[in-house]
Amino acid sequence: MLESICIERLCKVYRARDGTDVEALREVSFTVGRGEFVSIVGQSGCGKSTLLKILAGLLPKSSGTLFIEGQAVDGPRRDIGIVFQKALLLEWRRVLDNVLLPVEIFRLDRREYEAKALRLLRTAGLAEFLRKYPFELSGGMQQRVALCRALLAEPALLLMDEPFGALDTLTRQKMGFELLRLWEEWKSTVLFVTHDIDEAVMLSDRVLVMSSRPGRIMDSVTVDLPRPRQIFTKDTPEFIRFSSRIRRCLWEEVGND
Amino acid sequence: MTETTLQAARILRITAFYVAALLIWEGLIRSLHVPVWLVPAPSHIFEVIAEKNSIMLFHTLATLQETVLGFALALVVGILFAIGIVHFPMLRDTLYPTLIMFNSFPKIAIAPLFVIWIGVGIESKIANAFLVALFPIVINMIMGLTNMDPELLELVRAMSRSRWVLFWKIRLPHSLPYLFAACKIAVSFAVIGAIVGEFISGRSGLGYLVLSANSTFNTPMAFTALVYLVLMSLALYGGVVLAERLMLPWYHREPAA
Repeated sequence: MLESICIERLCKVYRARDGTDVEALREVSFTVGRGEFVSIVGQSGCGKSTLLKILAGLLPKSSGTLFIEGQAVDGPRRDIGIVFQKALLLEWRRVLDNVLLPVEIFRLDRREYEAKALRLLRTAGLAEFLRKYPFELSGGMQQRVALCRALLAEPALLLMDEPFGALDTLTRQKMGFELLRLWEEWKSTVLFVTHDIDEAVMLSDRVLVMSSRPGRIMDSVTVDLPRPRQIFTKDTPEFIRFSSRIRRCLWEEVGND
Repeated sequence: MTETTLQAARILRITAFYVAALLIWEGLIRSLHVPVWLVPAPSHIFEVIAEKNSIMLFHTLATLQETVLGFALALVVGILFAIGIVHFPMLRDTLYPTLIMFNSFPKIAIAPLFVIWIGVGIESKIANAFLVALFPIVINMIMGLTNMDPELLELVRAMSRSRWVLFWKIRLPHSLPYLFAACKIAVSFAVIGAIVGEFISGRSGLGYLVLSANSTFNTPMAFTALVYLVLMSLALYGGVVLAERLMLPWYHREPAA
């Protein structure tokens, strides 16, 4: 499998407000194959968001090497889509125009991508909301629009930072399956950051378990549950075996504090 | 159905309140035999309105012209100042503190100087209106251009580092509700500026009319001028609100309880 992300001995130290140095990431190394769905689980504050921001070119790394699609990361790039916990829609744009934002920023052909946007929005079940403003949508719908926006320019890599963290449990699970549907159709690589172990197991091909600060990769769990996954996958012994392995790993680490 | 009934009941209540207030005013003046040079009865004011309407309109238009020109100038200059201050550190360190300093002092005190500098014509009134309307516009516009979710800025920064893109696609549209909030204040301030200018010098305008009526104890005329002033200010405010509704259909206020 070709590599979408290749990280070696990545370290991040930043200066806190009070002048002390904080070590956020220590010698993080992993690779993500092209088209793979990989989750990173860990406690809040463990550095998973920092890692994502370095990948997105928003934060400089302190040391180590970092390649996306074979290229060193050194600033904004078109082949990455990002979804944060907040939908961050532009409230003055209707749904369709929000999804088309990357077209304007990257100066792509609007007509071609409008068709793509419509197809994405239809897949996400938002066909009837194209002309709505963000304030007219529920939280889950807003997040689906954000997801469509991130996928529009056909990114090779989709970075997601607790994208469903602000939603209620039921909506959150539904959104997970919708993400999988879009992913199966769009076939981009996904790096999905969450603190929800079940969510990580349910969605991923592989789960990376991250220690609390400084963040290190403690375990890499390959989840070979059959796809397409369903809500009842959760009740199977295999699922429970994966999630308890991750839970134990995280708990043992907490116990060491 | 109930919605419109409630609305009708509200309008009825408001109308009833004002009619009652006018009737009580009229009743008190008549029963207490208040001399007309002290406080005229509403009926008396209505008589003056009917008789002097064309003269009143002439003076109203004069004040309106000064106000609108001063306000428009403040709008253009205020927006340019704010954009400059947000984008150029040089201006942020020089112009911005100067504006803040000016703002904390009663700008109307400069009004007599304008007469020396630019004469007794319409220009000095425009200058007054401009000066008092400028500050709320600059201050709010700066807020609108900068006060946004830092993650939204990151989302855009991950796609492009162009300040032009950030300004046109994000900062400017984001600032519009702030700008309109400022305009509602600034337009009322501009009226004050114009009126004070007329107090100091001039041969026309509602401020001039109030002053000259006062000097001959023509209290009904002064009251009439105030009625036109109230109506003019309301119309200006209404104009801003209307423009806001038309230009910002996406701007969602919490519905009134």
